[in-house]
Amino acid sequence: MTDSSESPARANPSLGPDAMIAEIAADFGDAVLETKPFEAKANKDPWVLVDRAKVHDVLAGLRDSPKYAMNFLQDVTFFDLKGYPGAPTAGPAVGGLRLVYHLWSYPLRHAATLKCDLPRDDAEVRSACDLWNAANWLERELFDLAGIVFRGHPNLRRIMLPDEWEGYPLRKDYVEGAYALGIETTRENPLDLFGEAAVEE
Amino acid sequence: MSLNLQAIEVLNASAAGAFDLTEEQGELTLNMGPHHPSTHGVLRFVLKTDGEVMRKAIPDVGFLHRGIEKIGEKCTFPGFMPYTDRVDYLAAMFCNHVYARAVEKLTGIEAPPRAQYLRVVADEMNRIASHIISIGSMAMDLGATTPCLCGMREREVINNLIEELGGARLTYNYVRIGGVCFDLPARWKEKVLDFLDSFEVQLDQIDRLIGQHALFIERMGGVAAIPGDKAISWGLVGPNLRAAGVDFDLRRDRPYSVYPELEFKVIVGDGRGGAVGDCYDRFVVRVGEMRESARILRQCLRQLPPGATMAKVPKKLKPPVTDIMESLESARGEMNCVLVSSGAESPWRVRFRTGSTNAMQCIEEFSRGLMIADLVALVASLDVIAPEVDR
Repeated sequence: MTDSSESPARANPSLGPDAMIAEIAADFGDAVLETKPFEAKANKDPWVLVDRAKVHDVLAGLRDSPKYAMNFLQDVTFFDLKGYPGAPTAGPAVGGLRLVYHLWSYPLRHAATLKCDLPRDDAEVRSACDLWNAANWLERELFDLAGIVFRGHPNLRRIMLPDEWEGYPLRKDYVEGAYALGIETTRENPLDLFGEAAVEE
Repeated sequence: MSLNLQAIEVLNASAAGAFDLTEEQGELTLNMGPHHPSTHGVLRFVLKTDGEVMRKAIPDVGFLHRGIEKIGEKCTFPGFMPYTDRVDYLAAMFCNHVYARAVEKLTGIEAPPRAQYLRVVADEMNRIASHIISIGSMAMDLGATTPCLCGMREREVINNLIEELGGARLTYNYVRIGGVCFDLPARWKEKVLDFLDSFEVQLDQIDRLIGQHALFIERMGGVAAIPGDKAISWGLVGPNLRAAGVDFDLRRDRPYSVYPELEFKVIVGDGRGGAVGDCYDRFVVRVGEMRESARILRQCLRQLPPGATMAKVPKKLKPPVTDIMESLESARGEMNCVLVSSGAESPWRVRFRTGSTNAMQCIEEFSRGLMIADLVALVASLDVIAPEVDR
């Protein structure tokens, strides 16, 4: 069985974790804010922090350049920096959200992780839907659960939560209401028949 | 809160046109699901049809959203393990495994070799059980009941064996951080080998019953072919990707656990039903993978090293502040687990990226121009599981 996606493997070598971040830092110098080297002992994955305005250019470069050939968008995810011990202490993204792109190249068999800090009140970034179709639902999920707006997304609407839901559950400042969709979110402990839990307190 | 306003505006604008109900000349809008026998869990399609031919099928998901990623932030690292079963209840072992591996990567714990082998044994048993359901329901959705029941009979034996091993039949919670919770019970190895002997015969029979049936080939061959480059762009993984002709398997190409020590073949679709990447290829790849799983199981049981099944794990797990991603080849393809640790006892963020999410979103494109009955074949052949999409 011949496989066309295998052929570029001979044209370019695959890049190791350290070579990858060095090459990205060299090729997209003005967009790269910070790099984190690979620490095999501590099992720390390498990553590159990219400027929010240029993240789409870097993603497009990584996909289209034969040196990287990142044709698979593994994941788009995020985590909240508010209260996170490893968060940056200066700059516009303090207390913001950190967007994470995981990329993989099938022809060259190497990976890259890009990160991008977004301010909390203006969490907006250009959509990657025009680069990978897979970004469509991954970004919709982040829009729904984390409140990140992806500019240029063809169909940015809710995917998981009901239409009338308020707030973004995956943000750390989300407060669960007493009622959700008219149903109480707390209930009495059915095992606590004789009020033992109350006695212990 | 400028963002809230902005987001709500986008939301309102899109909610109005969420499911565009305007109909062109001769077009009909149909609702399929959420409770339709062929939708594999609770999911809904809004179909735009012109007679029997579909112009568009828009998947509507979220009915099974349980907020597993949010629950993870409130549990301790070991306490979240039973919840991972619910990410994909037809292949729960893989979710256990990927989560355990992710925590081990964070904390630097290494499972002993015997535990690694037992995990792979459990994984491959689970892969067979999951693929049996997949091909059985493929046949069932096309109207053939018998193959599904034949498959269920085999799956029952696997369920019994896994119950003996870990005590549960569906949501296993067998893999632990640092190893597995039980060693093999007495005579279990022989029972599995006996099962494999009979299973390989049964599998050939099921394959003859449906895989070589003229009507089945007619219904599946050449239908909804997904070419390799599109499959990659839509992020298809696992059997769906290999059916599209892309020769990639995490077990071989980014090996984890004990897979480097095992010998097996990666099955790739070859278009024998009409076109590469059609529904029939996805069937063929799954049948082939079950045979390979049986082969892996035999090797594992032969090579099973003696020793402990649990590493030394501290009572309180407090990983260093970092974030990692770990992935493995689940029955539905590459499954990624992203863990962010803040140095506390519970994760800062848990994230599962599963194969079904991407398989579901590509339906909108590849259902264009199909008959309604072929949509059922497409959904079944992609092996989409609703809980895995919604989490």
